[in-house]
Amino acid sequence: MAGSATSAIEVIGRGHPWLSLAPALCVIAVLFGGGLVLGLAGSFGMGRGGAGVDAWIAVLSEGRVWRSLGLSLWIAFASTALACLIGLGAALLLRRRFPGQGLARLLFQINLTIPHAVGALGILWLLSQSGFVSRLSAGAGLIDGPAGFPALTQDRFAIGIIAHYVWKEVPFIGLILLANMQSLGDDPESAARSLGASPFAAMRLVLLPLLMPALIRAGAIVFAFSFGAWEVPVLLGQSAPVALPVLAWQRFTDPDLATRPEAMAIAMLIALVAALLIRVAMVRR
Amino acid sequence: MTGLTLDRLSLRHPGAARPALEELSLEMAQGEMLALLGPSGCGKTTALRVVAGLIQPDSGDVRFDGASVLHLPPERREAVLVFQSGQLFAHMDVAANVGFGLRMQRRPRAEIAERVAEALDQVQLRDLGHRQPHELSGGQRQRVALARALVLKPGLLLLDEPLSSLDAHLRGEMRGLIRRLQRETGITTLVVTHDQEEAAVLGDRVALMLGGRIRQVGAGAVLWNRPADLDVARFFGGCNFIPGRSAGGRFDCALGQLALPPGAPEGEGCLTLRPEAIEPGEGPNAVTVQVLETRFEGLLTRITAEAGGLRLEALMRAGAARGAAPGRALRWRLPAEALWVLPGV
Amino acid sequence: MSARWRLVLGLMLVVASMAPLLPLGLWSVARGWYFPQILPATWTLEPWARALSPRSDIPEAFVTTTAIALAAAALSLVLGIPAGRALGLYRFRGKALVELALLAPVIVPGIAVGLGIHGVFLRLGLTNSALGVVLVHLVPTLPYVVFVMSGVFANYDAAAEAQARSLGARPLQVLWHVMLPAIAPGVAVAGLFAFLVSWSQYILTLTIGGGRVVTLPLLLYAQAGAGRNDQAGVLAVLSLAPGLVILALVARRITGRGVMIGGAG
Repeated sequence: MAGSATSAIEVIGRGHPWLSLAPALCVIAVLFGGGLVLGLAGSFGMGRGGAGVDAWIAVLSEGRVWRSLGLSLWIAFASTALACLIGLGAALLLRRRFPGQGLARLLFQINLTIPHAVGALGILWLLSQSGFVSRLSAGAGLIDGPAGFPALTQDRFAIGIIAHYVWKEVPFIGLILLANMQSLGDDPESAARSLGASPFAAMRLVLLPLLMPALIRAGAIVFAFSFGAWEVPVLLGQSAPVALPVLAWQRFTDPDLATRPEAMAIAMLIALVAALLIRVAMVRR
Repeated sequence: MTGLTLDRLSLRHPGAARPALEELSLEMAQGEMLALLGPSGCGKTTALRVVAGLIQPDSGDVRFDGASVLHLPPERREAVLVFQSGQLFAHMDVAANVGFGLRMQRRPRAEIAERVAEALDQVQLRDLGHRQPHELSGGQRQRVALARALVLKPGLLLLDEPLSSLDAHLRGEMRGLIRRLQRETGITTLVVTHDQEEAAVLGDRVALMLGGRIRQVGAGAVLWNRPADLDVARFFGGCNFIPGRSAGGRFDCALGQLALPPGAPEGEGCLTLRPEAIEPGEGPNAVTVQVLETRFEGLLTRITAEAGGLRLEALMRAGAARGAAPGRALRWRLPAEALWVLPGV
Repeated sequence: MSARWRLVLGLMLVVASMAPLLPLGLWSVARGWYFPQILPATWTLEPWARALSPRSDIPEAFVTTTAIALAAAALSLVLGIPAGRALGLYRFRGKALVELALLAPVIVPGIAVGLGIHGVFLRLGLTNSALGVVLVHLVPTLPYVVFVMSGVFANYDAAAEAQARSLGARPLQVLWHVMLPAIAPGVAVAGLFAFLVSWSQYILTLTIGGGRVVTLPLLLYAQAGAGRNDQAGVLAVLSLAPGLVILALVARRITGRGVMIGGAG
């Protein structure tokens, strides 16, 4: 590795890897770093003539913020747990040959390319009280009218939101696990089987632990996204309490400019949760 | 201790042009160590996996002590396979790896600990139980994999290229260890290798596998000096093939009449002898050869010569090769005991 | 598990995956689809005709979205390929930190940085402009390209470049004749998916574009919110299209690593 790296330097670049990294890092530093710094500064009211912790105090002492935080955490936990579980099942299903496997794998990947906004609208039209499933139920004589169908969207338990994230992220988790299973190959499980493990024991004691690092990383990405996305809860969520990102946006677009520092503070809360996730799931090798 | 019978095993991998196993048959006695030798891609690892129960053959049978085991899943067969890469479980420490099979048998914890310590002792890794696999050297990893299998006291031990991932200087050591442990435990052991020397050293007998079938089984020296056919002879580096006819202990060919060892096949055939068996000088079976080329190969010198319109190759030590220069005529002796006839070739 | 069970479960998985797309497609060819009709009473291409008519703002949004996604993908490639090369080929002090810095934008939700970036762009005069939207889309697309390319370069043998030099090629020739052909498939995947990530953005577009830069996802929600389900259906189908095309192009090249970064965004 070291040898080839040296020779590569001599051929192209003739410099340190930092030179090649600099442009990308600068862009990320200005946009992402700058965004975070200005967001933080804004949450302390800087740039608006004065600095203080008023916005933070207001935000942290407001019941609505805590309820929104609770809702967003619930959405993220439930979505991540279900997506990981079903994604694992799907990967275990799709890794073995069966008729139509290739097509199933291809169709399985389609969700990955669908914009969240489109998927969320699809879930709304599928699961709402006048949606497709409700109409099927009415056709089957199970319900009399839209009101007879359970509220699955814009509901208290955020079922529609969670359904969307699970629908969208199961293929994400599943494909990552499939790729990992492919690179692990069958040998670890075969070795366990030869040493006397049943198929289930080989999966539970050997395959799953080997997949766990990838699953944790993928799960962290799903958690961060379902915690912090705006377009899904804004369409599928109820009006109060709203998910934390929706609340931040409401404060940001409030005609009363005085609420902007609060919007920034909520945005920083979201960033903080993401940072904790990175700390827990990504930084350890 | 389990005797193994492979009875006309055939297997074709899906989409493969040629079968991986073709009517493969093999017998192993209880307590025997047999080396399954073959070039890469000859199907020997596939055969090992069929015995372990990891692959089902298309036809044929695998019997342990005479009873078919084809219906048994790998975990219920008395065979344990040690993978080429060792396949230590990366998320378990050495002791947990070695104890894995016993844990599957739901043995009491104390017994597992005791037997794991014993097994690690056997492979001279007594104090490494708490190491993680990635903290081990290649040789240590291989020994842990060996201990992990031995601790189960299997009836049949299957070793897939146990030395191929090791550096040259570790190979001798590991070879000795495998040999010693097999003697001590008496476990029937089938070891797969592509290395002739390794096969000869490890196996009580060697089975040569080419193109999905066993071509010859016997002691290493037998395969080396008394090959069953041309392919076997070529595999072991045979390069001298002289067509002719064998009758009454003599071989008629372009070099004249050569004396054969007792028991050589009769009839039309091909005489073969190993290049290192040729000696310089006069004596029985001496022939005159014209040197074409000499090539220094380190310990030995390879001399290509021509006689009676045939090409002969000899490998000689520096002293014996002295005087062999292109264009010169020499007398070479082809010792009768080194000659062998491949019938019908 | 038997092959038949796998088939049944696989079928369920596929049906569940496709289900939300069904009403979207149906709405785009329906007129007056009222409860409890399971299928539209009247099938018509009229929503499409209306959506593509000159008075509609959908064609313009389509062009805007495509142009922004193309620009964001191209910029990400230009910036991301050298960075990916550095990460894939070299080991150096601080590499883990760089990877972390590039991973963070993937994890941290758009709204958390978007509001701050709005402040940055306000000072630079980039808000409410397509250029600003392109730049802000780099936050999710650039790390994606860098990670895909670092994976590509990790499997790339740089010794081939030294070999080419030794055979008499100049550095630019090496770049063109040796490196580019070797990484071209990876570049294609990275570029196409960067396009898709930008194509799908919502909140960053809204934050920086301020409603002046109208892309398809924004129009989708506007039409759905206004109850014009047929137009929303058309928009949804239009928004799906590039993803399906790209998937068909690269289905076999999707790797765990690429999915890892691109999937959630």
